[in-house]
Amino acid sequence: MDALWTSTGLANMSWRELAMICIACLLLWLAIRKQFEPLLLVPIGFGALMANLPLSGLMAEGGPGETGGLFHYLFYGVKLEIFPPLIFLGLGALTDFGPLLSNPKTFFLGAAAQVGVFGTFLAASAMGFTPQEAASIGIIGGADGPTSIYLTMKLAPHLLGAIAVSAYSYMALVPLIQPPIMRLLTTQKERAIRMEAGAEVPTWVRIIFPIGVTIVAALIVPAATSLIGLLMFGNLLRECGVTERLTRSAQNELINLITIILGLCVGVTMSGDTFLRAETIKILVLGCVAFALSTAGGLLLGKIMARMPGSPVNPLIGAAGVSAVPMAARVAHNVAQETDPHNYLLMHAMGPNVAGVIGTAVAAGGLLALLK
Amino acid sequence: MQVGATVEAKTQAFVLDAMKMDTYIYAPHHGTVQEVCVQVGDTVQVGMVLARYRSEG
Repeated sequence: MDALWTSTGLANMSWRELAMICIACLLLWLAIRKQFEPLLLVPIGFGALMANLPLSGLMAEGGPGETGGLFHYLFYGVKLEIFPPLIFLGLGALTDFGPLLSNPKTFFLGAAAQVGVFGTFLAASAMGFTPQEAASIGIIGGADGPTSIYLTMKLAPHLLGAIAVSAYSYMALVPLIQPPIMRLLTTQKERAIRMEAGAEVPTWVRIIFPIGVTIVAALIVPAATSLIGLLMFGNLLRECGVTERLTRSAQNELINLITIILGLCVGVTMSGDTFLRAETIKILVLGCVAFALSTAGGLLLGKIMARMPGSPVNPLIGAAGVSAVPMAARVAHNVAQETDPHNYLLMHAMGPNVAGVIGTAVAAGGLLALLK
Repeated sequence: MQVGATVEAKTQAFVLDAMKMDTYIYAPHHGTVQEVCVQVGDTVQVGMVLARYRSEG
């Protein structure tokens, strides 16, 4: 009877696991009830739930003549950095770089919004994190899940759960975090600036763009090639016009399958002893700081651009430089409409928004080159 | 929105769906609709005319 009892999970439950199960249920509740990034937080939450049921052996390594746990094997996709670039392939196939190409100067806004990545990197270093950990925390400010996971796996894999949860939660909170900063840093007059519709982008430019970006990015930041290369490959599939079947696969089945497995794998890393630490709270706070700094960085460059000659720029689109596609662009559009309901910024904000994705991947490559 | 209808300034005239978001297009001023150039479900391009109407006051 005693042996039967001790073989149950219940007898082996510690307070940490109990607390983690509550956190997993909280994530599921946020995702299902509040619709916080549900496509990501449902798999992450459920993974975290399974990981904290004692004796399940999901992550067991196995040994000679013994099979390991399911997630021990699935996790190789994360450990060997296969999943994040594959997600980028799907993202590339889904992303229309047209708004960026028709107004190329918005590329700089996507770059300026990486300020939070480096600012938070310095802040986290000052708070006692190692440079590798600090870089992984800073990249949260890029508001890009796959890049955060990719960099963290390379530099500070023990922080993966906390960083992924922080990155995805704040992305869901973009409509709450950004508007106050946007209203604070811009004037009524700036928010009312109307932008001109960009020129139509010819097909050959759309085809040359992914090829050119891959070559330039790989030459300047070789460490970012697997992310940028696959992002651009996905985009080439979309724009070249002769690979429609592959494009559809990349946009739907491929990205969905990988999202499911990546989400579960990230969730499974959230075990009590790695997640329930003071560092996790610090990471959550620093992640929020990173988002705020990146938003401010994009806005400030936007303000400078608004003062320069040439076609008018509404500084609000700078805030969309923190990737989080397309949520940050929607936020810029909505904040502008508070001031002038006839101002339609959405597609203008997509330029810095998609530039932010490239910017974050390049920033990650730079940090990798420095710290690996 | 129908031909002959009167629209008040700042009322919602159209709803566009872009980037998974509804974008409301507001009437710039008061007037009467003379022609609606698009149908529900049409894909619109930058610069396209959605409707013409005569402004009153």
